[in-house]
Amino acid sequence: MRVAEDLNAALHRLMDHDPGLYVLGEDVLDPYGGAFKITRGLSTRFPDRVLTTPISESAITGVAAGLALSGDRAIVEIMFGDFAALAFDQLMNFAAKSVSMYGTRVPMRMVVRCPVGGGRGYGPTHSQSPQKHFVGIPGLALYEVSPFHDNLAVFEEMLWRGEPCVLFEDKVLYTRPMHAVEPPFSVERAGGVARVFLDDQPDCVIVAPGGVAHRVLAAMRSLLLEEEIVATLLVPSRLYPFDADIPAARRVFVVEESTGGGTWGAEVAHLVHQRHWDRLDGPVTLIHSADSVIPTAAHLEREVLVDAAAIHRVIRKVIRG
Amino acid sequence: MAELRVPKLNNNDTEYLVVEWLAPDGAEVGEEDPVVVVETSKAAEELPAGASGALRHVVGAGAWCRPDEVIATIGAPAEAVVPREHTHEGAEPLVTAPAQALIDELGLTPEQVRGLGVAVVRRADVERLATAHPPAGIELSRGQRAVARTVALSHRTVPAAYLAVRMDLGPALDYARARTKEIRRPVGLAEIFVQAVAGLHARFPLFFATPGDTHATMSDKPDIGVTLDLGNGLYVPVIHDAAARTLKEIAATLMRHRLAATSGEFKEADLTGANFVVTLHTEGGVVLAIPLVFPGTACALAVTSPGDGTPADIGLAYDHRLINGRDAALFMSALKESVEELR
Repeated sequence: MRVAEDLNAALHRLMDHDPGLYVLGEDVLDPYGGAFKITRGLSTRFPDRVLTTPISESAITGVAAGLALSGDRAIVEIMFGDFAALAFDQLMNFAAKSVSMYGTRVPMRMVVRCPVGGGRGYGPTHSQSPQKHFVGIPGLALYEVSPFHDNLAVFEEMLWRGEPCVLFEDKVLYTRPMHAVEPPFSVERAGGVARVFLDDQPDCVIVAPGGVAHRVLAAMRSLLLEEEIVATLLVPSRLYPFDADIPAARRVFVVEESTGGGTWGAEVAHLVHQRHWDRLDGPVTLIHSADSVIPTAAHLEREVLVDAAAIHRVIRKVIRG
Repeated sequence: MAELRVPKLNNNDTEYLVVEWLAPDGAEVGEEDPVVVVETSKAAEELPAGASGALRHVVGAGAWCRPDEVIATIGAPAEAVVPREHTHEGAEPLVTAPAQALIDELGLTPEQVRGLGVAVVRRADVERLATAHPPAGIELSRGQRAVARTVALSHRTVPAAYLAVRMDLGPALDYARARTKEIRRPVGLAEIFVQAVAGLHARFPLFFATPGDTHATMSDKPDIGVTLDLGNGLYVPVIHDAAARTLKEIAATLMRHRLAATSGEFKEADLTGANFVVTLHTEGGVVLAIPLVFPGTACALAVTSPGDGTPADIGLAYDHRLINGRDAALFMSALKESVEELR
């Protein structure tokens, strides 16, 4: 099953099970079913609870927060995650604060889905990975879709938290298969973290969210075959607050598609340093896209975005010198 | 037969990306079945087949297509498509590049590598294999390994034929002894045959050529290699431009080469560039020797010599792509004549 189908199936199940759950977004009604078809079929089955909206990310998110504040549940689709910036105030100053600023804890059960990432030539305002801009807001949890996490379970966890959540969905994942890793690697899940590994003691651990996992896997394969460098990949479902057991290894890398500067990876590195500094050979290495606007032209976009070759190159250089 | 054409999906784009085929080439699809994902600059769209039948992709995933372009055909159930087999039987292990280098160096077989029973073969695994099964017998010297490579390459690439001619070497040996005294350098069959072969260059240029698949590269002078093995390995030093040298010069050069062969201290230039090789089998009553044709040359002459110098069978191994039997016979006949008339 492809990731897009898994997401669509998860939304159908959630709507089916929870009569208080609403889906809101631009162009989510059938037959269009959203720009990437993730909400396809929902409005036909649940016409009263799938609301197509004007182009106003702030308003959509505000309505969702209002529904959550009233005890309902809401899932918002932002057509391109870049425009989540327009809903930033609703998320930071209203939805996240509402959890704790009324004297008693108020559960806010809402998820803002954000298709993100480049690699398709969509240009500067439709290709970003804005995860880093939402890191560190009290009461706001960040998740990212991965091919190794069952999306229904992830949605259930997010709605169960009682805190507003942002779910980042790397667009290039939509057409990729779920749960696929190429031998000799195996995958297993523990808690919210998927681990892709070989049986050997790894030379390094790579922490990467689902959107770049396949690029990391390609690099892990070439590092193994060309350099005999064994890496273990950790793919957390929840990006923030970040928590994962880092297997013992002397080198840790964090890979993400966000452009350089104030990244999620820096937050992960800080946590790893706090916990494991004594057993590391050096600082956690951050691997991310260039500190640049993301160009539209494919050849220029390739130079900016992190890819398997860059991941291979950096890891090889750090480990082999 | 129906055609699947890409509809105009939005007004901004003149082309769309075929992201993925949801139904494989040759699959039976129904009219409503989504078969392909195409992406505009803003959104992904699944296209239904639009007809029932066997789907045939016209463009591959990753291709760009224009609105109204045909990207597939849907026809009557076509001839049964044989699905490509993905056999996992006896699956080959993944071999890392460092491990492969060592496998090649040690000449291990795929069976031995498979016998490791690991999914990923690393250099350490191969080292383990090498220690567990040390190669029986003695280790080959560097020089002998080089010989082995040359022999293997020759047998793989040169279709050699062989022809031997009986010659009376008695007068030539008498001549050699006389010249040895005269020029105060050792003259033997090696020197005599180097000079005799070099003398044939002008008449038989193909015998000094470098064979290729469709062309032979000619040489403007005979550079004669001579096999020397004084117990320290086989060397083939070269007497360059042998036709322009006197017998004394040839004898002096070969003497220098023999000294170098005892120590292995050749200059690179001494060992490169032969376009004809004389192989010497003048010890121990050898009556027949079939030399290998060195890759890059067309011939190798085998000089054997019964102790008394009387009728010896002198052989020519030659690259049959370049030289036919009749030419070889003419060459050997001319050689016999020039060696037998030495006085």
